[in-house]
Amino acid sequence: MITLLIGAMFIMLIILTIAINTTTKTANSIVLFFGYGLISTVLYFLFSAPDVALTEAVIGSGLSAVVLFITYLKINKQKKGVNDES
Amino acid sequence: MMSLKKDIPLYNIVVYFIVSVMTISLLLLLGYLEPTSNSIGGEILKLNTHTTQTANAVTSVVAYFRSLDTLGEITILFTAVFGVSLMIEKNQKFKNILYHENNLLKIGIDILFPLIILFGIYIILHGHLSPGGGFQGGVIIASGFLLKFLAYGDDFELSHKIVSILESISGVAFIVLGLLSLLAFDIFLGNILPLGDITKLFSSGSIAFLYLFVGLKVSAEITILIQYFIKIRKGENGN
Amino acid sequence: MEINISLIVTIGSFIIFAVSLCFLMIKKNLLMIFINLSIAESSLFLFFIGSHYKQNLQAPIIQNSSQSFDPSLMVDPVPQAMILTTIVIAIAILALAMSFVIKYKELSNNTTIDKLD
Repeated sequence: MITLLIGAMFIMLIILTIAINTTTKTANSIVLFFGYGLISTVLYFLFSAPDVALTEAVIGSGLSAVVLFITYLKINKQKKGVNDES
Repeated sequence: MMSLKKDIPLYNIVVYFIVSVMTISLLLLLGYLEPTSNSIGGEILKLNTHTTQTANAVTSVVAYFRSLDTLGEITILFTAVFGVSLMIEKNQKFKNILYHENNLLKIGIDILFPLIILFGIYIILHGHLSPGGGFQGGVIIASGFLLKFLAYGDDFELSHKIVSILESISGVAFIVLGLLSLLAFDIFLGNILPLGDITKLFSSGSIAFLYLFVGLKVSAEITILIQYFIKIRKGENGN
Repeated sequence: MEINISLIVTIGSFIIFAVSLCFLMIKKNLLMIFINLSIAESSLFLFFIGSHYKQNLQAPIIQNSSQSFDPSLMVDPVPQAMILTTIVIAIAILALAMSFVIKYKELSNNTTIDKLD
């Protein structure tokens, strides 16, 4: 039962990795990176490691994607909102 | 995806092929290995109740059995924030890049901000009783301040001096606690306070205090880091 | 060979590592390069923790003073402590790299690694 769950999570991670790298807009990649961190958190919880799950949820998914997003806003500076191409 | 089909040089395809072959051979090799035996982990778990009355074994490994690694990690974080401060220009008048005029955001964050700070302090203080600790709680507190920057923009001013002084004092207190233990018992970053009963709040000696100073330092550092990132010069973006 | 958890963990994490490494070399946008670096690091953390897990083992935390730390019932705490440190180091590296990207954009108005002068 747990084997099936872990296998399903890993398949979702592989699909997410391919999706992050083949979209054309970079804003989509950053939002999908949030999802990657979330599924990693669930995986760490299934491996009986609650400390690492909490750290990955807060730092590896939260702060990492926020820093990436702030850099993305600073790089594509436009007046009202950000519309971009990759 | 279109840019991928046009110009992939042959070199990249060859390297990918070699990496895949190495990966598959590694898989076949590692697929036959068993998980390693937990010899030192087993010894630490047996010693844990006797030497440190801590209910969370991972905290006792981070803050007592391997506390020198935590000191190195704090140094690396400090160096990274120091490097960022050298690259970002310090402007006289700055404006927030995240700020958008929105009343709903202000009201919501007014309600949420004390709760987030309280939650962060709870996780820092209970690091030895449940999953948590200094690093996790510190980043939670810093994310509360990020929400404040998002809602208020220029009206929310964090004085840079007070946050820097807080960070320095907690870093120095971590080292002083370690040196006191070196003077008393010949162990750097050891235990100098009385151990209480397990699963009570006042337990595990100086592990709780070491982790508390780490939590304060990390929260101050990440707040400063975020504040460096969201500054832009006034006068750009047509404002 | 039978399908157990350690085989799934090994195969899955190495496939993620190989895919992100391949795209790290192909992509030209600076932000995508660092996103792929983060994904590669994260897959190795998953491999490290997943290979120390056997079935029906609990986390190394006790709830009341009647329980005791039993190495045959609990997971090893040392790898978890090491990975905790490494996650913090990974984000320190990412923050420093992002400051370099911002400075590079300011100086040369370019976010790709096509023409590095």
